[in-house]
Amino acid sequence: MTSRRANVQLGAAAAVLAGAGVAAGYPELVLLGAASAVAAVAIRPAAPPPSPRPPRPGRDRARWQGLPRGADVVFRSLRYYQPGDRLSLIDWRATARRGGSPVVREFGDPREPDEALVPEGAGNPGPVARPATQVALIATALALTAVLYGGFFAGWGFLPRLAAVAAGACALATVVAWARLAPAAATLAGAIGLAVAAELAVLSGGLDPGAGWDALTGGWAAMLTVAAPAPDSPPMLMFPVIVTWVAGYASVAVALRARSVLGPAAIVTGAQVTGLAFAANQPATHLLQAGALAVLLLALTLIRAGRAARRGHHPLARALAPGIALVAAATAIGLLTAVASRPADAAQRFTPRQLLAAPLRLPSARSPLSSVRDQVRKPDPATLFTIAITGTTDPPPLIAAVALDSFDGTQWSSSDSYRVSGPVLAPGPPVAGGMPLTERVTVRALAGPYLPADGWPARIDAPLRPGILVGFDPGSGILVADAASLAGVRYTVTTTAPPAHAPLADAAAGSGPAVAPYLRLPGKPGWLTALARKMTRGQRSPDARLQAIQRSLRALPVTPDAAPGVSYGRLRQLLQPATAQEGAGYADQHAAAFTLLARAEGIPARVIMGYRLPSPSSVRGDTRTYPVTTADAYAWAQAYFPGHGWVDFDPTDTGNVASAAATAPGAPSVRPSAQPQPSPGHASTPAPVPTAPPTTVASPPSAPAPTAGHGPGPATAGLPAALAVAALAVLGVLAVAGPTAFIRRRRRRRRHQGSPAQRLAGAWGEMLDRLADTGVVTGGSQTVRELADQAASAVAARQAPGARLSRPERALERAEPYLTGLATAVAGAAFGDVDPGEEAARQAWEDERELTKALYRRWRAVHGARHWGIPVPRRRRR
Amino acid sequence: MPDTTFKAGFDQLASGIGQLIRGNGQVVRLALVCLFAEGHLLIEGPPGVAKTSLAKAIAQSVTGAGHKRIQFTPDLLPSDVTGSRVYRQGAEPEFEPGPVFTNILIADEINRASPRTQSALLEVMGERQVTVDGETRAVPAPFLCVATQNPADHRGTFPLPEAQIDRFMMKVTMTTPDRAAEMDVLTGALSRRALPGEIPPGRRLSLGQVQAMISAVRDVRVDDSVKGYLLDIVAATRTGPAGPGSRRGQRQPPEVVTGVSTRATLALALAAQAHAASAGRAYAAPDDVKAVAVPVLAHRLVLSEAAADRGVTAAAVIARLLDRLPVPSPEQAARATWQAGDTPAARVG
Repeated sequence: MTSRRANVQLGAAAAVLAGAGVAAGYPELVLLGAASAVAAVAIRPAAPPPSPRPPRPGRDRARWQGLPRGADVVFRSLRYYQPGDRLSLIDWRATARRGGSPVVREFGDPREPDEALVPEGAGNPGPVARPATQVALIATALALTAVLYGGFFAGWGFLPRLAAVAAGACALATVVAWARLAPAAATLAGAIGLAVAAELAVLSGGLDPGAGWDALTGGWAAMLTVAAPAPDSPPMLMFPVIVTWVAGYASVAVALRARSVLGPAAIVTGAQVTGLAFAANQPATHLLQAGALAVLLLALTLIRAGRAARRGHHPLARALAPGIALVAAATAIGLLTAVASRPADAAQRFTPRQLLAAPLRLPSARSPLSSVRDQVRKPDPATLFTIAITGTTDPPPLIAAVALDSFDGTQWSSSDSYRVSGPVLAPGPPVAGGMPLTERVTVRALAGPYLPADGWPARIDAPLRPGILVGFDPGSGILVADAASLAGVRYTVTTTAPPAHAPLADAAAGSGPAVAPYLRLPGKPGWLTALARKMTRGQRSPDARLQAIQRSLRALPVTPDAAPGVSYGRLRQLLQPATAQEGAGYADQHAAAFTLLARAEGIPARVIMGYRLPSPSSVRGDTRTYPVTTADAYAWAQAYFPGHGWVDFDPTDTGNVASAAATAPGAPSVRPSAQPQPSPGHASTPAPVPTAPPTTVASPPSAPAPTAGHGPGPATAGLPAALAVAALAVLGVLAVAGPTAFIRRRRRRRRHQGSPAQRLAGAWGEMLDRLADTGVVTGGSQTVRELADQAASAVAARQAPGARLSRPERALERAEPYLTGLATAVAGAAFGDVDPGEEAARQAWEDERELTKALYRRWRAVHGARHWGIPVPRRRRR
Repeated sequence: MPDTTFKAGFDQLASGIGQLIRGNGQVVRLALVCLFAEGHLLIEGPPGVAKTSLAKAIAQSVTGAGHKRIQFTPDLLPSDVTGSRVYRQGAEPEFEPGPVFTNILIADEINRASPRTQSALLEVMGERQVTVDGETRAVPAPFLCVATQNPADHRGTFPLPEAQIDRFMMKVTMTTPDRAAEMDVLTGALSRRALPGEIPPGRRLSLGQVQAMISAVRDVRVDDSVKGYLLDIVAATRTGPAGPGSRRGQRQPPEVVTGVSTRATLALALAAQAHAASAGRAYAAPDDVKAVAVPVLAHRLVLSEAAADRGVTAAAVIARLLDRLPVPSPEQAARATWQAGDTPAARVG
């Protein structure tokens, strides 16, 4: 595209890119878009270089130039020397002026301008500027897009593979372009190459068509539902490989076979956008990577626009010399725009994975907090699991299973969103003085879906039971398995355990949007804040205040038979008891009360349900094995301190046993029928949980809360994301429908409006558009008659022995009867005042239909897609 | 209104001359286009390529028209061209008309005369009149000057002054004919033993016919869009970063020092009309403008010395301009020409 059309397209693409970046929260896209916008303003495409003409030996100057004998030979232009040119044609004076590259003179016949149609379709791509540099730039840019997957995969082993895939795709596309394969053959070659690349890079030579096919079709979904970092296993790696291969192959093919200025860069940008959408779910932004990519793509565009200079020494420097300032300026402006717009917190930005529910099918667990008491009150404690801890003699005494962060006034639930996870888990918040532990867990009888772990898990290893997927929420550090019963499951988990006594004296409490869910207090009742203030009177630091609250709560009497419930009403009874019965509670209520009081003080906190570590059953070396039973079920609270992570607080003193009177079954707020009755299988059946206000028993919204993707966080973040998706979809529809509607409307107007002469000329214009679709360059300085003559010469060329016509020539040959028939009438109607009459106009439009049929003899429906807004070169000026 | 009779007459003349002048068929037709556009013709070429024969053939092919010939030599004087008062014994001084008082004037080897003598043609070529000793006399109509010259790089010649050059509507260049044509020439010469032959009487036109055809050329329609195209071309040759009348963003070709004159604009339009008529059309299309642009414009361009040193020719510059300038779109032209109904818009010019 050598007209301003390219600039307009680049500008539009830049606007869409930047808009999408702002809407979805990707400063990387804003950067690329802003840089492209600058380029759209600044890059002015140069005229295509003259096509070289093969020199021929002979004594006559005209014949050297391939002209008919007797032609008048005059100087036409200068061009650079190409191997094979006659040395005597070198213009030494011009050579000296241009700094040493040999320049030759071209001659031609002045009366017969032999400038021919320069078809710019696949058949005759014409000279491509600096093909090697372009291919190298594309390969480098694609390798750069692979960097995006760095936060997605555990480790960098994928990078050399993807870079090799990019190089392979570019190399194959270069060979295919060099061999001038037909488009169908080139596509086939690309597909075969992709299969080979996938075989080598993904399956590592192990030929397994079944696995390969699964990875091919399911890879993208697997990527979207897995939690980062993911293992670089075949299903995960297949999709990046496909994207890289297809982008590399298509980009180089377009670069070498078409004259589109923007095509190759646009394809690479597509790979970048895909990479961002699929892999950039980690909070880090990739401004540096996007900036480097912008530099490469702008350089590529500059070369393709023909704006690269030819002076200098190093080929790359020579190619880029005049554009370097532009590229630097565009990238700098893009970077500034991206940083300034900073559309959203990178962690909040939209990714397609928000739209795809994880394939984890978690059993809808009953409220985990109420299960604490059920388990403790079982008359015969059953062993739930054994845990063998290596790495310390003094492990943290509490093993977390579930983190509960949201409170609706009556119930605690978890808003965790679990993603399928590989063995390596996303790193949690940093913990000062954390120690690594290795825990081997063997489950005897444990209801799903939570997998207990002591400390923050960093890695979980099989052997799991086959068919069970492991899920992980990197926000809460909780592991799940999608099975209703975990009996028989074994796993080894590596964790980071906090030190026994964290130095919290001066630590500030966590703040910011990340911990906002842990500060939420529905209704924020006045008695609670007043009570919290009273408890923490005289204490300054967050830790001291929490210790004060903990002391107050540990003074309360404890019994598992106390009246249950964690609603505001029940907790108020607990904290401001009227009777001794009301003042008695258990760990679940203490943990809930502590968390609410901490939140009232502005300190992020959450409730943990888990198990206390019993005394070890065996000690072998530094490995201690603990059999955990139902009697060890427990609940406590955690508060968040930046730099120390989640710190345990145990607000229950189980030694402070309540008197028998406090456990009288006739407590007023407890319905007798709801008195928990230990029974086999009770733990796995959802049961209504008795709470103080009977109306709020097991309120529906919170009961199935700990399933994937139902938390309040994603739900509120999903709205702008959905809007962005909708806006993008509308843009996409407009991008296709707009040009299509325009083309249809123009055709209708041409066909039905105005006098017969105008409709006749309209038919001609429509014919030219059809021809332009096939790669014939029309318009510009070419007159009606010249086009008809060109078609006639294409017919003549066909009759020459051994003729091989290019695609535009074939199109012209087929169009010849219609063009020749109409040319005189069109010129007469346009430039004379010859009225062609109704019949001629009607006939012209019939000819136009016939022409379309003649142009597309096969695959007509496929070619029809070209009118669906796919930009095709048309009406270019030479 | 030119129609098939114009084309028939034109073709008749062209084939008659073509029998004498082998090869260079395109040049012959251009020369006739120039004749019917009533413009002066400059024929250029190396010696021995039938320049003078072409000039004579054109003159002969119009019966009833006077034609005279001046052989330009370095010692020729202006009065030898225009005529002068002659004193005869016992009589009043009497004006002896020079050879310019004729219909078709053949100025052979025009660049061998001094600029002083060449300038004698300025008035008659420009205004079709001669002023000698204060008396102005008109030359007969039509008046056409057909001049020949060798390219200026031969010794003993004077390049034509710009004012003179500009008065020629066209400059055509004759070249050595190709082998087949030269074989024809050879065969004909050997069989006839005379060189050149005569135009057969059946292939000639009368002076009246030619005059009717000349006036018919003026009736050829030039659409507004074609006029615009024509102005685009001349404007593109002109001086300055964006020369007067040129479109925004257009730059003058770097090789050009002086663009073409307004006389050139008129000549281009007239020549395009004649070319259209010669093709049997009643309207001029952009093709006609393209066909005559190089012979009409090239000789009027003044190229920079640097460009001339590089071997750039004015013809190449014009050809490049034609290649670059967009032609009027037939669709837009039709929309402008035809109003909503079926009637052509009011005709202008």
